[in-house]
Amino acid sequence: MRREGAAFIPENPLSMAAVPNMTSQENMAVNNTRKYSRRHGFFIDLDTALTDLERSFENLGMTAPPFLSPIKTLSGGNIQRVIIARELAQSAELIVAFYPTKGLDVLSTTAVRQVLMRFRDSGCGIILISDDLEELFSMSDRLIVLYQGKIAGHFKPEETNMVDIGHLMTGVRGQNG
Amino acid sequence: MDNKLGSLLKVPTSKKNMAETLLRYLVIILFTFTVFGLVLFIAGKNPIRAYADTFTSIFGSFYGFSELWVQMIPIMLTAVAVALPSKINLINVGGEGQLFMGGWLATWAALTFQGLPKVIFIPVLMLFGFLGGALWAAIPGLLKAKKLVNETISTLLLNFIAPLIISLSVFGPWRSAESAAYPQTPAFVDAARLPVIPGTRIHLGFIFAIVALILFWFFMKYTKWGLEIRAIGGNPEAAERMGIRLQWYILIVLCIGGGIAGLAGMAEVTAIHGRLRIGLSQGYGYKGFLLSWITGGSPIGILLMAFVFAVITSVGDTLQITQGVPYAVINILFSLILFVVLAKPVLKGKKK
Amino acid sequence: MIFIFLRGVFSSSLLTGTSLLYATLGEIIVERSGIVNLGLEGILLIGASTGFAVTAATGSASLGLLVAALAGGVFNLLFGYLVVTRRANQLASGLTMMFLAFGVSALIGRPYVGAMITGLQKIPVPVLTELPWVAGSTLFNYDILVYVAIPVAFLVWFLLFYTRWGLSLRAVGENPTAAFAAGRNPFFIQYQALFVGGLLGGIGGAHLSIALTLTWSELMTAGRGFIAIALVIFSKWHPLRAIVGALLFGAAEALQLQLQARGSGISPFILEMFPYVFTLLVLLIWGGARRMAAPASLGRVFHGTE
Repeated sequence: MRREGAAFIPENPLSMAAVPNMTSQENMAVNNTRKYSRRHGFFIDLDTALTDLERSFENLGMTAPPFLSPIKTLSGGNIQRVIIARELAQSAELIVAFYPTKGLDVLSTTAVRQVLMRFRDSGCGIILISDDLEELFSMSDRLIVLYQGKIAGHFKPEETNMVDIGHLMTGVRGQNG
Repeated sequence: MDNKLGSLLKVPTSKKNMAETLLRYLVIILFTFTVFGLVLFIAGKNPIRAYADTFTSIFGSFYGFSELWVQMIPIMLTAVAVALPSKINLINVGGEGQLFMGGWLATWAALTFQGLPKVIFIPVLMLFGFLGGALWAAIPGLLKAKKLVNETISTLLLNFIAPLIISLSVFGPWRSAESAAYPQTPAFVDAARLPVIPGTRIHLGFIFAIVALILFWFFMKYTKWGLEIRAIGGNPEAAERMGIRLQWYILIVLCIGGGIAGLAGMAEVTAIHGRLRIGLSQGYGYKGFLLSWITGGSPIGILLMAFVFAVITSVGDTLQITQGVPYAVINILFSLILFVVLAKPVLKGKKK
Repeated sequence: MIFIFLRGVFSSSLLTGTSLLYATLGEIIVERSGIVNLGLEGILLIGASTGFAVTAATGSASLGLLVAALAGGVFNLLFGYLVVTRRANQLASGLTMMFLAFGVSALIGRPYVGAMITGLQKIPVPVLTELPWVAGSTLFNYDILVYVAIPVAFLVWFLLFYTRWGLSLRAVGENPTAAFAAGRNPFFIQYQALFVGGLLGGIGGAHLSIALTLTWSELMTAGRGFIAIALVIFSKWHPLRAIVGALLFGAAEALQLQLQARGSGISPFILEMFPYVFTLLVLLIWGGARRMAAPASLGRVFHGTE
């Protein structure tokens, strides 16, 4: 997926996208070893990985947690921040985000949303998977509702409202089916 | 800068930590020797005398002391053969078989390319030794990579098959005509023998082992592949998602490990024996396994523990000669150490 | 000629298959409770050495058998301490116990190497031994463990599937958390499984030394423990299927022995490879069964209330 230019922000970052015993710096480097390897793979440029990670945090406006301790020692919110910063550090054509703001404080949440919008504005496609209707309505160009694994509806936010969406999400049939 | 130093020395190198670890192991070893002494006592033997005799034989003569280092060579190599795959959570118990097959293929090369000058011959033999072990490990490697057979069992089973292949060759096509009574190959030409330190049996293999340990340490810490291997070991799912090829690493890592064990076999065959015999290994593969597990696959730990293992082996020899105790009892010592090491950590929330 | 050959194979299969069956049954019980015991080889050695030593020392093979079984059970409890109480890695722990058994069995057996014992008494089958051309007197004349092997398999089957104990045991092997929530004590149950499994393993090992070969030598089990582990997978953790497996393997080994004895022209070393290669093939073909039929929690560590 990395090679196709897609970024993936998972729901459980620690178990799904990070190596718990490695530091954030190492997690940054190992995510894209091709980029950070030197001399035909003999060495890893951890310093550049660190700077890239720091820069990504700056761009996203999030406060950086310690980068040199094992990532599993960070709080859940911090881990999520690191993963997001890592994923959004490189230019991507597609971002798939699973509940990206889950567990984040207000400041980080706004920052993440702003970043996602910025990426959207620069032409990047974003698939945002979430159950936070406010978030979805405020950010999405299009909404797709899934119920029991099937697509239950496909709208533009202006065309519908949260109540109807809520119904579709829980299986009650809405007006337009 | 603090960050840089911290990132370079990730392993607990604070003096306090290292001292703690050393102390811990010292206590474990002392405890184990005591328990073993008790076992001997219950069996009607004299442990004090055994330990004392061992001490005199090790430190009483230059040769006795040098033998310790000779013993360390094959087990350090086979320990790396186990330690490397263990970094991606693979359990390679096949060091024994890989050692045998390395020795076997090196023997073939030694018997076939007899005209070569030493300077070329030795590297050629090293190559074949490595290849023999690597190919033997490729079988379980493929089986595991394709998710067909668990590597612990497959490497174990192959351990039983390898010595039979040796027997087959030694009793058959490679049998030396001279020693009709004892099955072995003809002696290797001098160019095929590894140099030794005069007056001892310490051979070039010691350098192999040290180099292997250093390379292993360096590889894991500084190279891209080491990083990826650690990622697989830490979280294989995440590693795969990051684009790291699991199957590839499973195969490669087992093959390299097997190759290193094969080198141990080559060293035994060319340095110690100078020919291929049935009694090529004294459980070196298994000792390497225990060594790696006791030390958690740490290169420096392997080096230090190998010395302890060599001492234990000496205890075994002494017991056998002076008190008629079977050599195999040293397995009690080895396994007790590992037993205690395994019993220590209570991992919270960790599966398996 | 062929007839004598077949007779030899048949007889051999029963004899070698017996210890395999006991070992496999023991391992099935243990694995059904969620634990993989790679140290089975060690249990066999403990059984073989202890059985032989006691028989040689006291002259009573029955006593030897009893002590061997108990020794196996106790040894497995030690293994239990590592994997149940200390929650250590099961594969490594099993191998550790195996090495421990190498040493302990060597120590126990050493004084008795070369001793002559009258092993387990052979009991002729009443009518069948009279049969003339089948040489019934040798063909239907075995020690009690052989006769009891299949009934024991049925007993284990009954225990696992028709008793409360067996149900609890299997529940622990599938989902220890649920079993715990239902009021069972997974730790205690696993210890019990290990003890019973050890008893059976000890018997399997004893059969080798006090019935089959009437000798003791270091490492005489030659990997049978691992073959048994493969058989557990082959029989999909089911005691009755294990009978088939053990007989099959017994036959394979018997075939190999007979070929060796009759001078088949195939190198004895190649023949000796046969059981291990066969085991690998079995694992290769039936390995997939693992995912389907294995107890769901096999190999996992249960953490109490965490």
